[in-house]
Amino acid sequence: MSKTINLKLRVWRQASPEQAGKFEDYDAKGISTDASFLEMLDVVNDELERHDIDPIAFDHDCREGICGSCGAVVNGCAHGPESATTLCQLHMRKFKDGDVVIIEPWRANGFPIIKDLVVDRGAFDRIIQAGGYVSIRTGQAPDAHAIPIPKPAADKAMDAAQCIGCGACVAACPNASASLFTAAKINQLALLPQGHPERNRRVVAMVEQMDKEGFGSCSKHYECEAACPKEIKVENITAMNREYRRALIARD
Amino acid sequence: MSATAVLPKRLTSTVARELAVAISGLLLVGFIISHLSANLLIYLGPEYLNAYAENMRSLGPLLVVARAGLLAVFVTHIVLAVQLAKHNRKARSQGYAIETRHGRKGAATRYMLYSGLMLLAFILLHLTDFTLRSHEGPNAMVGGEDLGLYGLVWNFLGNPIRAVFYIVAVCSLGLHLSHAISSVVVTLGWLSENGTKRAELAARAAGIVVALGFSSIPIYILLKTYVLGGHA
Amino acid sequence: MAIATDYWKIAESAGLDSKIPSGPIGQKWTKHKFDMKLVNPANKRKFKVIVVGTGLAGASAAATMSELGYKVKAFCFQDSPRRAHSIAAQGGINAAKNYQNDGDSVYRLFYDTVKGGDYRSREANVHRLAEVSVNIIDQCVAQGVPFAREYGGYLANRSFGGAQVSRTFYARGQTGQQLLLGAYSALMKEVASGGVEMFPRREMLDLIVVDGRACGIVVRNLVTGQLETHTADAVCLATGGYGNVFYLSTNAKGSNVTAAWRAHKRGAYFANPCYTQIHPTCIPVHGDFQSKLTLMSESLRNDGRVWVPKKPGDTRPAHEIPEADRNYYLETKYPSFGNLVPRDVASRNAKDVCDAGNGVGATGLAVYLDFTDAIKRDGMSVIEAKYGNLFQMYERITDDNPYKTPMMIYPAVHYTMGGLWVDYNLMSNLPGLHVLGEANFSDHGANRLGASALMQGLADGYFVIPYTIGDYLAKAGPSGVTPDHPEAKKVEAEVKQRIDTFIHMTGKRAVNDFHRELGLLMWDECGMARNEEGLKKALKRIPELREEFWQDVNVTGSPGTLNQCLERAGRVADFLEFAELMCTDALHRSESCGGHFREESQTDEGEAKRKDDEFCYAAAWQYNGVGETPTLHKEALEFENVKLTQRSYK
Repeated sequence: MSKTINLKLRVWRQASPEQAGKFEDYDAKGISTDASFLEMLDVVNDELERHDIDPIAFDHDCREGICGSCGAVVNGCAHGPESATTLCQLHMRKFKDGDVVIIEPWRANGFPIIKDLVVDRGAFDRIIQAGGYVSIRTGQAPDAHAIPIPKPAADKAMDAAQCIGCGACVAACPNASASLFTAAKINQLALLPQGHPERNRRVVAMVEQMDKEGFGSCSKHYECEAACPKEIKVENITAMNREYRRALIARD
Repeated sequence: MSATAVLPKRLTSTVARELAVAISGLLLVGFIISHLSANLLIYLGPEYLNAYAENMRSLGPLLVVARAGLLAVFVTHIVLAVQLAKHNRKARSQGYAIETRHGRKGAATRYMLYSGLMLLAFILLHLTDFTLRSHEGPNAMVGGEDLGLYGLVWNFLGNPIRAVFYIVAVCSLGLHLSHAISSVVVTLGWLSENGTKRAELAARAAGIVVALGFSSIPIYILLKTYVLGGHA
Repeated sequence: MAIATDYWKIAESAGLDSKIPSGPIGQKWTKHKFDMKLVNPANKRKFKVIVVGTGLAGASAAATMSELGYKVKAFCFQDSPRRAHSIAAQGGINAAKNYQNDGDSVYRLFYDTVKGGDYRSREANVHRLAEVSVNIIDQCVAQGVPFAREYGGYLANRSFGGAQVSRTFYARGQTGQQLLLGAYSALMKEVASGGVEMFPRREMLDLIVVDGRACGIVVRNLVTGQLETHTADAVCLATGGYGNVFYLSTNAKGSNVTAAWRAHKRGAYFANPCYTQIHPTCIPVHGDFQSKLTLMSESLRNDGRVWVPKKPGDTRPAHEIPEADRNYYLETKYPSFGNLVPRDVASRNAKDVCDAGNGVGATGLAVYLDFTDAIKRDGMSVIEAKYGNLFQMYERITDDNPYKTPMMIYPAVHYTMGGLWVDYNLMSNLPGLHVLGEANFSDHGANRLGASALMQGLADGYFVIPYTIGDYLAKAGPSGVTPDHPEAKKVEAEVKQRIDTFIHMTGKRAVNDFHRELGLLMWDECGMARNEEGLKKALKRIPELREEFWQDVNVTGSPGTLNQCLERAGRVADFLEFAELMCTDALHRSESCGGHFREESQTDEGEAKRKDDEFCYAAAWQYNGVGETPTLHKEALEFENVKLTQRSYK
C-alpha cells in the first residue's frame, strides 16, 4: 500500500562538460512509495523550479523501461539496487524512510558528462555505424519466408536484440567496457543467416570502433550482466570473441 | 602503441590482445601442469626427481630453445596483461562515490593483476632458488648426503619461512587460475549457453587442485622434517 | 451540418485536393508509381531533404531516401535516434501476408482498417497501406529483425485487437523496439555511408517557408543551446502524435506537438485533432506525482476477462466477490466479440461502469482484468509463457501479483489519429512539407486498429515517401534557399525572441504545474466522451490557463546550455495553444465516430452514432493566430469500395 517517505539525496551536479562537478544535498520530502525513481526526481525538480534553482538534469523518455534514455548510478548500482530494472521502473517502495540516496551519472571516458546526470552516449551510435546492421537497401528483400530460421536461433537472436542501449553495462564495468553492448548486436546478427555475409567485417569494425571510443576491454567481471536491465547474458561476449577469432583467420 | 603500429589493426584491438593473453595463459597452464607433474616426482624419491632434472639438462640446446620460448610466452602474457590493465584503468578515470559489486565473480577476478604480479615476484625468487643455483654442493646436502635437485628442494622448502612464502605464492597461482581458466573459454569463444557457469566451477576446482598440488610439497617436507623425521 | 460559429470559420474556397489517383482501388498506387516523375540518379545527390523525428517513419524514410541518393539531414530531440517512442510499441505489426491461410488478403486488411477507422479515413491511402504491408515484413526480416517463429522456422502470427484473422507479426512484447532498431540500423548504415547527416539532441522549433514552399527548419541544439538553421529542398516531419496534451498518456515524456504545431502556425493545416485513441488496458493512475501511464499489451484481452462488481461501491477484495455479484460487462453486452471489442468500445465501457460507481481500486477508476479462468483452463505455465513479461511489468509497477489477484486496468491516452493534413503523396498543403507516421492524419480515420501504427509508420517511410518525394523534387526543383536567406534569418530571430521571453519568465509555478492542469482539463472535457457544454467550458478555460502560464511560469537556467526546464516550457506553451484547436474540432464534430464520442450522438443502446451525411469529411484547420477562430477546410471522403455501416460488435 502507498505511504510516503522522506529521503536525503546527494546528487552529482555539473553545469557543463568543462566545469568540475560536485555533490549537492537535497531533501526529497513526502515521496509516495508508489512513485518511480524518476517521478521522485520530478517532485524534487518541480520544487527546485519553484525556487528558481536549476533542476537536476537527467535523460529520460519512455519511462517504461524500453527506450534506454534513463540511467544513473544509485548508491553504487547502475539503475539502482533492483535487478533487471531500469531507473524509470525502479519504485520508491524499494527505499526506506530516511535513506541517503547517492545519485551519480554513468562514469566512463567513452561517455563524457554533458550536465548533471546526462552523459553523451554517442559512442554507442558510432559503434553501430561501424557495422551493426545488415547492408540491405529498401526493396531488395526477398519474401520473408524465403529463409526459414530455426526457432532456437531466432529466440536467441531476440534475447540479444533486446538491448536498449542504456549504457548500464559500461557504467557497471570496472573497466568501463562496452563489450556487452557491442557483443549483443554482433551476436544477434551472427545468429541469423541474414547477418552472415558481413560477419567478419562487422566484428572487426565494431570492436575497432569500441576501442577507439575509449572503452576498456572485457576482463570478465560480469558486472555488466548483473546491471543489465534486459538481462543480456555474457555469453554474447563469448560469441563476439568467437566471431573475432573467426575473422582473424578469415581471408575477407 | 608504436611498437604494434606495424601490425594489422585486427591484431592490435583489445579483443585480439585479450585473445593473446588467453592463449599465452593457456600455454602457461600447460607449463604449470607439466611442472606440477614433475614436482610430484618428489614423492617417489630423489632418484626420480634427479633423473628428471638430468633428462631435462641432457636436452642441451633444445632446453635453451624451450626456455626461450617459455620466456617469450611469459613476457607476452605479462606485457599485454599489464598494458590492458592500464588501458582499462584509463577507461574510467573518475570512480564512483560508492564502489559496489553485484556480479557473481569474486576476489579472484578482482585481484587478477595483483595475483599475477605476486606470481611474477615469486617466479623471480623461484628461478634464483632452483633454476639458476647449482644443483650440487652444500645446498643439496641432506643428512650429509648430496641429493642433487632433490636435496636443494628439501633444504629450501624445509625452511618454514620460505615454505610459507611458497604456499602463499602457489595459492595466489590457484586464485589466478580459478579466474583465468573460466575467462579463457570466454575469450576464446569456446563455450556458449550455460557453459560459462560450468567453466567457472571447473576453473575454481582447477585452481584448488593446482594450489593443493604445489602446497603439498612444502607441507610434506615440513612434516617429514619436523614431525615424522627422515626423508623420502 | 457544421456552420460558422463563434468558434470557427468555414473556408469559402473549394475543398482540399487529396490528389487521389484515378482508377480502381487496387490499381491506384501501381498506376501512380508509374505516373510520378523520377529524379535522375545523378541529380538525386543535388537534392537535400530534412527529416525531423527518427521513429519508425522518420528513420525508415531517412535511410531509404539516402539509399536512393538524396542528401538527408535527420534530426531528433533524443540523445540517439534509437530512442524514439516507436520503441515502446508492444503488440505487433499487421501485414496481409496470409501466411496462416486463414483468408486474409490485401483487400481484407484494407476493409478492416477502413471499418476499424469508423469510415473516416481515405480509402486510397488505406489500400496502399495494406498493399505495402507485405513488403515491410520482408524488409524487416532481411534486416535481421528477430520476429517470433514457429518450430518449422517460419514466422509466427497472432490475432490481435479483435481481428478475425491472424495477421499480426511480433517479436515477443517488444515489436516496436525490434522494428525501430531495424530502421535505426538502416539509418546508421546510411550515416556511415555519408548519405545521412544525423543531428541528435536537436529540437525543431520552427519551419522556414519561402514563397509558400517549406524549405528549412530552425532547431535548438539541446546541449549547447545554439540555434541552428538548416535549409533543404523538402522537409519531412515524422514527429509523432500529440497525446501528451493530456499530460498523462502512454507517450514518452518527451513526445510533443511542437514541430507539428509550428508547421501549422506557418500555414500547414491540422486535420482531425479531436481523434484520439484511448487504450483500454493501461495501469490505473496511482497519485498526483504520476508522470506517465503504462500500457499493458492489448493481447491480455485474449485471455483475461474484464469485470466489475455488480453493486456500486463494493469494496470486498476481488476473490471474495462471488460470480453472481460480478458483471462481465463486455461479454454480456457484446456476445460475439466479448472482451475483444475494439479499443474505443472497450475504453468507453470501462469509463461507463466506473462513472456508474462500479469501478474498483483505491480511486474507483479501474476495472478488473481477471486471468483466474484462463489459468484454470490452460494452466499456470501456459499463461506464464504468454504473458510472463507483462505480469512481471505489472507487478513491478503496482506491487500486485496478477497471478493471484486480478489485474486492475483503466483506459489511457495512447495514440492520436489526427495530425497534419496530407494529400495522397503525404505532402501537406504547404508545398515541400511532407508529414509521415503518427504526425499525419491519413490512414486510421477516427480509430486505429491494434498493430497498425507500426505498419503505417514503416509504410510511409520505406515505401511511400521515397517515391512521392521524387515526384515533388522532380517537379519543384531545388529550393535555392540557404540559411542566409532573409526569411530564414527572420524565422531564426523569432525563435530566439521566444526563447528569450521564456528565460525572462520569473513566476511562481513550475512548468509541470500548468501541464498537469491542462491535461486534467482535457481529460475531463475532451477525453473518452465529449459534450458541447464541456467543450465550451474547456474552450473558455484554456485561454485563461494560457494567460496564467505567460504570467506565472518560472523558467530557470540560461538559454546557452542544456536546459530541460526551457525545453518543457516551450512544449507546454504549444500544447496550451494546440488544446484549443483540439477542443474546437471536437466541438464542431457533433457526431460520434471512432475515438471521438459525442454524448449527444449515440444510439439507444449507448453506442457511438455517426452522422455520415453531415460529417463524412476530414476536417483540416487553418491557423489564424493565437486565440483567433480557426478556419475549417473540408476534404470530402468518398467511399467507393467499402459500404458505410454502423459498426456493430454485438
